[in-house]
Amino acid sequence: MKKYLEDLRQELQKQKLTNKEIEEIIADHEEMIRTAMEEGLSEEQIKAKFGQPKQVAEELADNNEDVVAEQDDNDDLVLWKTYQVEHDSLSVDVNLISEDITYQLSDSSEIKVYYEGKAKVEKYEISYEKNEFRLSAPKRLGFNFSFGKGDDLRFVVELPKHVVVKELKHVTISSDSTFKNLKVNDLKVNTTSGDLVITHNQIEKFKLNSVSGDCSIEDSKIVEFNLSQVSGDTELDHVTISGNFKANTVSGDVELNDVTCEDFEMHAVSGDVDGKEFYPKKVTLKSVSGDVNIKNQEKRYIEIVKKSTLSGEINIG
Amino acid sequence: MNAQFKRGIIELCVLSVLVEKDMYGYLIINQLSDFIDVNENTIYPILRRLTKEDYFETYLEESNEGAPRKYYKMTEKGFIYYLRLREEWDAFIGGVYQIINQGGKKNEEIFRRFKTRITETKANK
Repeated sequence: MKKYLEDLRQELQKQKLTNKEIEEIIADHEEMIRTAMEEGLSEEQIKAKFGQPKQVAEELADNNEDVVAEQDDNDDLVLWKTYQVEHDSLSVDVNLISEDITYQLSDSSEIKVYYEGKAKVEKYEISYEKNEFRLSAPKRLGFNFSFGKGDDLRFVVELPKHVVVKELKHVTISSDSTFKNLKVNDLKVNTTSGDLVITHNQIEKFKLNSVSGDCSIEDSKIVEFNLSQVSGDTELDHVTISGNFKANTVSGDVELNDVTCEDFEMHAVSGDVDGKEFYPKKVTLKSVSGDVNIKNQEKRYIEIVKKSTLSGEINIG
Repeated sequence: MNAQFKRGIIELCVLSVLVEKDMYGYLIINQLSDFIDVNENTIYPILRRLTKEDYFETYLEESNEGAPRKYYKMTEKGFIYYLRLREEWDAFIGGVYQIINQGGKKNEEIFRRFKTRITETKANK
């Protein structure tokens, strides 16, 4: 049983499933094999019943091909606006303050904007003109206490599935923002303290600026990734970066799990990079005390291009 | 058998056993492999995919042997999907039987007819 589970774990890692999924699958198999043993099946019988770990891992990976992130339920939300999109591409420009927002896909050819919450939605500027969708929070002069956190809005913006998002600009102070299943050519996100979740996205150019917001990116494909953070932490899980990955951080840490990229360039004061199954082709580190620690099972060659640091280290093992 | 085709059929089988009652993984595998030549590495991925698509929910329940088991329970969405698949399957397999059984089921009879036809074609050339 132990051997089977070990082999299975290895095969699942080869298929690049996420750690969370691997743990679930292993637990399920542990239970099933244990039940088989309790019923008095011999090792041979169990082997015949369960087959090759390799096969089950391949099937499970196939399963994942077209799996997308579960979209937010909009049943309880108010449908506020819909815009018919005539072209095959569009751009998006969103400016928010503290409203939470989810971007996801709609099956129709319309942009659909839903909301929930008590704040006055009519004060927001919203439009779709010349192929550009805009949503802006009302301008506030000085302090305005009428927008307590309690009656904040939450938006769900659905973009048509078959329309290419050429550019998506998202600027916010403290909104938590979620991006699900999107395909974006140029994604620019600026957040002060809002957290960011990006799941199942395909992005060509991704520029992310965060002051203290945390960012989690999972199951996504990115071509060029430019990350700049002050004290927020960033986590990447199961992300393929086919081009270069540049990270600028003051004290925020970067955690990488199952990530590949070409050149990895890290500029840090005290922020660290912790990589598990992180396979960059080249690494450059410029830091005061920030370290780069990489722990990989597969020993692939990683070139250290340049290292200028006071007390930081690059550890690859 | 074509893998894609087999997968579709197993999917229907998994749905069919779970329409009756909630079951844990190993029991589902047993129920299916008692009747058809199929093993865990085909059934489990299907079970997992259908769960991901919300056709099943899971819950843990203690077993007599001690450790808890994960039970799969069909959702309403799963039941609707099952009905649709079942209908498609009945229509399809009904059609297939019509085609393959035209003129009787007996092998000797089929061979005899085929033989006469082949000889006829050869003679015509």
